[in-house]
Amino acid sequence: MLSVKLPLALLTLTMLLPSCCTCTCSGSSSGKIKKGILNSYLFKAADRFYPTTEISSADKFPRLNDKQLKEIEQEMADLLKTIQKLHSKEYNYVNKVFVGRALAKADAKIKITSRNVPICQVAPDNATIELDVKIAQALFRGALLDYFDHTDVFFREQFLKVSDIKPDEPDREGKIIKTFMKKKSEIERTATHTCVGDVFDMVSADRLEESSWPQLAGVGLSSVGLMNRYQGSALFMIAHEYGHIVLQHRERLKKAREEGLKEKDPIAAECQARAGLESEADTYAVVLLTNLQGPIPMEMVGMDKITGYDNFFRYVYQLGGFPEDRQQDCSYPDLDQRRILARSVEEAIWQKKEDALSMELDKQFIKLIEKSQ
Amino acid sequence: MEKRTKDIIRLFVLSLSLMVLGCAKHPSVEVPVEGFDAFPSARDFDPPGKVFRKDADGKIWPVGLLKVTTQSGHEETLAISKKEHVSLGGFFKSIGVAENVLPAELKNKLSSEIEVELASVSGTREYLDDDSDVYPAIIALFRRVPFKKDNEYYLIRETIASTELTFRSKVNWAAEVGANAEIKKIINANTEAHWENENAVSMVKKFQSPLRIWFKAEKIMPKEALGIGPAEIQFDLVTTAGALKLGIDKQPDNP
Repeated sequence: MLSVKLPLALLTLTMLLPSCCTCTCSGSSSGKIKKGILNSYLFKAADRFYPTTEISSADKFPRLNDKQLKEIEQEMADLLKTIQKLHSKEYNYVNKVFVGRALAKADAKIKITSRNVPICQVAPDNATIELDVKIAQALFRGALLDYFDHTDVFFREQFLKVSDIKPDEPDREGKIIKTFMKKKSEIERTATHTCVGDVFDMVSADRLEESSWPQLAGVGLSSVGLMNRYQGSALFMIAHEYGHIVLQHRERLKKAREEGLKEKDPIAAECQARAGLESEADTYAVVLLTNLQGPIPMEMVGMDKITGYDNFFRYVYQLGGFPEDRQQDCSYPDLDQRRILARSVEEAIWQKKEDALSMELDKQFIKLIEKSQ
Repeated sequence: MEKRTKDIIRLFVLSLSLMVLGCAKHPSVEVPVEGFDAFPSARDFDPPGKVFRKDADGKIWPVGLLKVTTQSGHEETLAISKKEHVSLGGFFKSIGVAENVLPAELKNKLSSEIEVELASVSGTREYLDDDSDVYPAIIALFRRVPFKKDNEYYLIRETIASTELTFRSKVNWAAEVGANAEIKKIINANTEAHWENENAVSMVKKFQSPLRIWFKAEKIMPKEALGIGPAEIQFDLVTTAGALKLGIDKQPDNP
């Protein structure tokens, strides 16, 4: 009974109100939010990598058309451009960190392959960063899982309503993706309104959260959060590859191989050099991306970290199907060790920034005191 | 009939005749069949997905068959002919002449090369069309079979099978050894080959079901790339017509 009377009373009130005061409705309407969500990375990537409602397994390789491959190529090329700009801006600092080994500038381009193998590498021309759709799909899967596991209660418990899926459940990822795709089609069917219509919708709904605006606003925020996760790990990955180019790793590997021939075990010497270069490329990516964030860590202002290595090593690496640790004769650096190294580099940079900031504040404080005296 | 109706009919007839004339002038569609080489013999094995290796001495060895799905289709318009250089001995073997019936003066010439034209009309094409199947299958193959760094690896990407194959060769080599008449006699007595007037020998081989005659190969080209994660083997597939010379008288050696 109350549920009928209350909307009626509110409707009467809103009709009476204009006679005594002016009401304004600002902010995004559910219609505008829905449009944004449908164009978001979250939805576009879901359509791209899981084009049918029948999802047999989360890692089923998607057969993309040329237009879709070009879209991924463009997305990655935009991220590469960001990395290149940042490198130019921070060149003096980067070159100092890497003891004069960094080039000031290097051409690079992205090439997307569709081979269903874990490819994310610098090609022999030392300018093409090759990336397979399998890894692009793993970036989406990694962002979704990481976001689901660590960040957003709304996304997990209110939108997907899958809080009961346990971390060790078989085909956990498949269940999450299937639920997400179901919810996605619900969003696509959701009726939307103008700003004023949303107010009426919220008033007339039995429960506020059942009206379209709060649902869509929640999903809109989640899609932004998930996009940050994806961009973080994609930026880390591309920065790592660009690091191989600007730190002249191919030339240095060649030199190390020549010098290794004089050693007792040339293969071991080459493997050691390779492992060193991989660690250096990781370090380069962390150094560059930590400086992308400005003077304060992004998580301090409630945003996701953009350094991305954690998501990449925890999720994307395995989801992308990189083999255990071997590349022909050589072992790759241990995954946990790589994550620990990346974290320690990041923490050291922030410590240095913090020290510099507090030193600057002290200086300003002393100046102020001197002035007042 | 009104003038307007007549005009419409005239316009229609004119358009139709223009269309018909236009159709008549269309060139016939040619089926692109470049890049194919001939198998050593017509066969029902070695489908697309078969991998061969060439060792440091140039010897060809079969490596294995990829676990991939092959696409296929019949092409009525397909006509391929190709000139191959083969050994004289290989040619006799192909047309069914045993070495022991050959004249002695020809026996020491069996290793010399002659030109043979092979031709087939109409065929069944089989091919691997999707890289996302092929690349993982190659990696899986090299998990089973060790990859030899000093060898070249080739993948049969496409094949064409036919129920009919024509061999044709000029027999100037027979005149060179002065055994023209004798060879003509041997060929007529022992084979289904036909001695043509212009001193050429030809033979049409017919098969009950289509056998693979032509193949197109890709080289599995290893490459060295620096990447964020390890790769079991890094390679590209590169079309290199004529690089895998199985040749019609060169059977792949057994491993």
